[in-house]
Amino acid sequence: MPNWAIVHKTWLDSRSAIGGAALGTLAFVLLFVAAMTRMGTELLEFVGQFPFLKKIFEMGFGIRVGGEVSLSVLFAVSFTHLVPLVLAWGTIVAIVSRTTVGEIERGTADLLLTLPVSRREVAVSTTLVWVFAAALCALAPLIGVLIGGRIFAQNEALPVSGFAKASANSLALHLAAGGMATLISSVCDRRGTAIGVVAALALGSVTLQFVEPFLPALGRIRWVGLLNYFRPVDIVRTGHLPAASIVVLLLVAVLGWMIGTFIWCRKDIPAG
Amino acid sequence: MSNRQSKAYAIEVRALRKSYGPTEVLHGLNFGVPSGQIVGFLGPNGAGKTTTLRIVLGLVRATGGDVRLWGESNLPARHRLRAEIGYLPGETRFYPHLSGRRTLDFLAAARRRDCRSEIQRLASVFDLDLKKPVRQYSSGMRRKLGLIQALMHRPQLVLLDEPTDNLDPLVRQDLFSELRRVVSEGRTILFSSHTLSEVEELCDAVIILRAGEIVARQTIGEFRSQAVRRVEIVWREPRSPGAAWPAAVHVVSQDEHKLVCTWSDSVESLVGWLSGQGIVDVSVGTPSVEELFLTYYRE
Repeated sequence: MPNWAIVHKTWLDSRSAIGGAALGTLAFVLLFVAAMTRMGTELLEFVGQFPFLKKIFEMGFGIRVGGEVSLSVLFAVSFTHLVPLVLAWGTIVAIVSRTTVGEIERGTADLLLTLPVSRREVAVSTTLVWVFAAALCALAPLIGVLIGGRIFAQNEALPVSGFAKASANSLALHLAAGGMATLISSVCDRRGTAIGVVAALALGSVTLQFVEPFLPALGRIRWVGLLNYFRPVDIVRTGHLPAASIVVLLLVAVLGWMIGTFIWCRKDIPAG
Repeated sequence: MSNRQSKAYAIEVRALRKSYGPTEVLHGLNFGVPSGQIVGFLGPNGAGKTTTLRIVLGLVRATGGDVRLWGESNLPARHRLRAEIGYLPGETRFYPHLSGRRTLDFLAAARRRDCRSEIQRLASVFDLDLKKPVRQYSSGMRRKLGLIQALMHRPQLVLLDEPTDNLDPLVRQDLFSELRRVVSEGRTILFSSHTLSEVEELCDAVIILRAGEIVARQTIGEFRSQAVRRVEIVWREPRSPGAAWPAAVHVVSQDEHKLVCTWSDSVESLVGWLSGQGIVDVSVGTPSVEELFLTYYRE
């Protein structure tokens, strides 16, 4: 059971970051949709002239450059862009690490953990807030595409269910990032270290995604990167939800959270 | 009398050990804190007082041994017992962006207790402005806020880790009055300190800890019977550092002109000894904990 006072305080501490991330993502997707509507086709033609960029687009975003590409598929690229990912993950990691390692570093863990509240309750209370942040950050691109499509691409029939499924894939990805952040924060003594390690893992996953086309040997370890299970462009193009990928991401989320919380519940809290 | 107060001991610690890697910092502590008493937990810095308090609270896990609170030793349920515990950490840190009032409201809400009237009373006792953000508080004000959060829910057991640090003498007396009030209601206090005088002034009993071991457990009467005084003497004529001293003298430091020592006998015998010694100046005071250890508890 959550402790609602801790939920409320965590929300108050995080609401600016959550609101900023969601609105930032929304604004970015609106701009992206406007840009793709006006110059998406030209962009793909330009990209098609350079094998290097073509490979990145094909392997990184899942777009077949040179083939028939609908505006909806181009809009779906906004889900995989670094801006929404960095905003979402940055917010989630900030919330997760604030409680698990930030309270210890700041010296306020003595107040929080001597309340008649178990550490598991503290973890659940904080988790409610970052899961809400993850949901909002996963919904923002969907809302952005729907509003942007209505404004800038009135003739395009957007596959709403396809974008909703891409949003579900985004949510699973953000939850996996939160689970990993919980695990890493529980074993770190400094908040900066925890954020740094999560950032390094995220960067590693992004790099793997975009470098693998040029280094086929990396294909064998592609499965270790979270982004391997994040395919919004394919989802919008085919309309199919990749259930296996969602299950893998949710498994990472649940296992990361459970192991991280287990470690944190048994951790010695050093004197401030 | 509450159910908790009917228990003979609020805290029972048995064979408590704590190691950090190969270093053992608590070597099998055994002690009890009787319900309804103020017990002083005395020792120099690094003796293990804070670690012991943190194990009692469940912030740190013991390597071995057992801690019982009101007879209950179930570690997973420790968080429920914390409803009846108030704790002041050695370093009081708060959320800097919250005001004192918001901090206390949050802690009370997390405890699911209505503490408003007690917060108001304690803020008045300690003369603390709760409207200011905590980041504008001085260290003394943060200490007062820490004391209020430790006492606001009227806990049956109060654990205070060196509570008088950063408090001015007037507030210290207000705190002592408040703690006497707590005990008069049958509640229990474990009070860690490295200052002899405040333990003597306030406590019913004292547990003396040194390097992770208990070296003495005494009632305050027994403790006072060993009254030790710190004496500084300035000689009129230079004296050889090798001079012989009475048995009651335990030298802390000395040179040709000055002797700093503890005196473990009556004041009359001290005056009698000094009268024939040719002195320029003498001052008598309370020894530090370290000096007390040099006198009584040296290995």
